[in-house]
Amino acid sequence: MIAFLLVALGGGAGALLRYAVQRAFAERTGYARAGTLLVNLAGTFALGLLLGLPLTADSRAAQLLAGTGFLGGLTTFSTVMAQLAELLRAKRWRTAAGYGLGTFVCALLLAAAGYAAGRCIFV
Amino acid sequence: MKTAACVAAGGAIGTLARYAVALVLGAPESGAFPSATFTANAAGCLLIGLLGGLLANRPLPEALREFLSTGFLGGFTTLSAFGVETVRLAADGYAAMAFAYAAASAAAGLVAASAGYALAKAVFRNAREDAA
Repeated sequence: MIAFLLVALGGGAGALLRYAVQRAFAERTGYARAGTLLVNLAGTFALGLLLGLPLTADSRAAQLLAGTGFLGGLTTFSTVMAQLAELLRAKRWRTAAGYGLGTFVCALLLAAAGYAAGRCIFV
Repeated sequence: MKTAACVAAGGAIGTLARYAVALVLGAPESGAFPSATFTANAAGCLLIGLLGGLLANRPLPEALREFLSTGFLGGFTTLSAFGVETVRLAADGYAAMAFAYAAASAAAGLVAASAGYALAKAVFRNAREDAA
């Protein structure tokens, strides 16, 4: 039961932060996409770091709250795909390719960097 | 303020729903296809496409729209778990599975989001014309 509470709390907070960053970018630059990219990349690096850390007896709750909940709620897959589909419908091929490849390639690199960094800590 | 509260509530529910999918489908064993995250991401992309197609015909109140899209579907789907699962597969020596997972996730997500949009746009346009 406590697990569901931790996941919901983290997820709500993560989604709220994503919304705030997207709005701030949309208002200042006109591109909500840039905000989506920023939270997605930061969240993916952070999850790599978290899951790279050695497991302890207490880490299950922390993983649920911070990992599955907060970072899972902070990052989004559906918004990226909706944005990409919209760019493709508008025939903005180069922007779509740049945003899509940028999101996926950078996310994988940052997940790897975070994971490697997590494993270097405390060992 | 109201919209922000709706986003937080939607995010909490969507994240819980993803966690429920993971509990039902189980954590992937070493080297196995991460089916829980894949399922949530692909389903979330279909739903956000359907929502977009609906919105193209029929605007919803901002708070409801953001509850569903930024909140629920944003929380239900995740890039971070996808990224870390892909990296773990590769780091554990399952490079082909890592590549298959990344390619399948991206392709399924894009096809689902595009098809959902086209379907809902056509259905709701017809419904609107029938009503007119």
